[in-house]
Amino acid sequence: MSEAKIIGVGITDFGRFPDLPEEALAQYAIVEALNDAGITAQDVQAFYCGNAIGASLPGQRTLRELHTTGCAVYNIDNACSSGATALNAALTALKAGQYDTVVVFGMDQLSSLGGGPLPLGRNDWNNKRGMIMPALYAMRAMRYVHEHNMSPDTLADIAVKNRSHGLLNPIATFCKATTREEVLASRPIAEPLTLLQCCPAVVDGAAAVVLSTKPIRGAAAPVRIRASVVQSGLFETGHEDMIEAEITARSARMAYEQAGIGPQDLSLIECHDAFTISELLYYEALGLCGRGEAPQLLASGATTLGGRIPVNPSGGLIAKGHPPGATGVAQIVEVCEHLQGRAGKRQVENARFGLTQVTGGGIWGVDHAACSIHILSL
Amino acid sequence: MKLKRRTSAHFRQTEAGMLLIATRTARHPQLQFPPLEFVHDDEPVEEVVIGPQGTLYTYTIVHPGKNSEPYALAMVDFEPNVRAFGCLILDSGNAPKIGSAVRVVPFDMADGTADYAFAAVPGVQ
Repeated sequence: MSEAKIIGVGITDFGRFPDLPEEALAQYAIVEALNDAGITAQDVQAFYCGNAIGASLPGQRTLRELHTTGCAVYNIDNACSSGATALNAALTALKAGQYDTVVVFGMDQLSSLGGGPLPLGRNDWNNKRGMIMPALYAMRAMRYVHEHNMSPDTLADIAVKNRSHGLLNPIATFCKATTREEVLASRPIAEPLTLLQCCPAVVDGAAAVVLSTKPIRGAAAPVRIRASVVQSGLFETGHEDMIEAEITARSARMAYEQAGIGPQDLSLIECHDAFTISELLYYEALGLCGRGEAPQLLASGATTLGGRIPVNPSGGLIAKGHPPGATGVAQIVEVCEHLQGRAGKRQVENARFGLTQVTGGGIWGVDHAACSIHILSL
Repeated sequence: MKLKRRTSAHFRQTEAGMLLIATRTARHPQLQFPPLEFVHDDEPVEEVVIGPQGTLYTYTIVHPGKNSEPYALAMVDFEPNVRAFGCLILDSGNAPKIGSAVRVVPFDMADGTADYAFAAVPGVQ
């Protein structure tokens, strides 16, 4: 049996489209991906849908008007890791020989929700006492500042960097250039995080990829999935290290082992920069630098486009926004475009290996509820 | 089906101060707070009081928006090896330093339910 590869990608603009339901956005991404792959919906044997916020049966709601064949539809909710988890599940099925061609898509439409941070479970112990997602990350930031004597202003540089990348990304409709001063002067959300250090949460979007073990029919080079990892958070109730990003570090070790490479081999990374502190912690958890060295790595320019290991060349969640179900698949699309030489003005030169990392879910007792990491190459 | 909900309080007032109630079981010997809520098969649950003082591990001050007052949240470490989350009472808008001692104090939740929060220990910065 041939290796499963990504043979087509599609993605919508990321923005606010209150008149466009998530089904329409997902249909667009799916049709783009099918055209990119040179196949039709009738060639697809199963669909895997990542969706976190929408109503039930998101996959079927999307696919009915695409006149699919009545094949299997798998709806997957792993919070912000939904789309990437869907890819992992699809890949597992192809490796098992259950299917030879599937579509993985992720979608969410939040502009109809009215604004504010992503809703968390109302019965959660922490949430009943005022926890919101920005606050959890803000506490990580406060601890990092305390342990490593970092100026909290450094966090603003992540937002400046990622927005500068996002200006080069046609789908990042939200993105505006910002300065460090503007980021720091924006409204406080949860100290030390200000508004412009938080990804826009009220954003709509969808992304899709076609996976197949069959010979390609599209024009773009097929992309190999060298590693695909999904992990859940460990239940931690003791004096845990909140800035270790445990689930990401654990998932990354597994991914590097699967792919047979190390962080030094990576050409680019798309990571879950829901808040500026997130990206900083993930530099360390992904092994790009040692403990406490993330600020220096950022300051060196290594993670900026043109640097040694660009992180979030798409602009990341901070520049594009974060429709949770779509984000994981959108990261995959981004890395594919760089590997295939189709990333336009934000192209990472000579891209060989790309890593995507997405985490999901704020529930008490775990670092994150879910994490998914993929490593791709040609 | 043997599945029971525990209704024991998660805090206790004493002369020494307010204490929190953590729990552990034979299957899960690591202390946890909040205490275990559901018990399977009549499994014995050991209650362990923690407090009245802990160490501030980290905190943040949340700014909900124009029409709401800021509020503070904290993670506090207690011995033996258990961490608790809760509201943090600020002193004139200032938070205690990370690493300083904080104590458990009575605090009502938004719906009026009696609950707990953390506050600086008097005389400790």
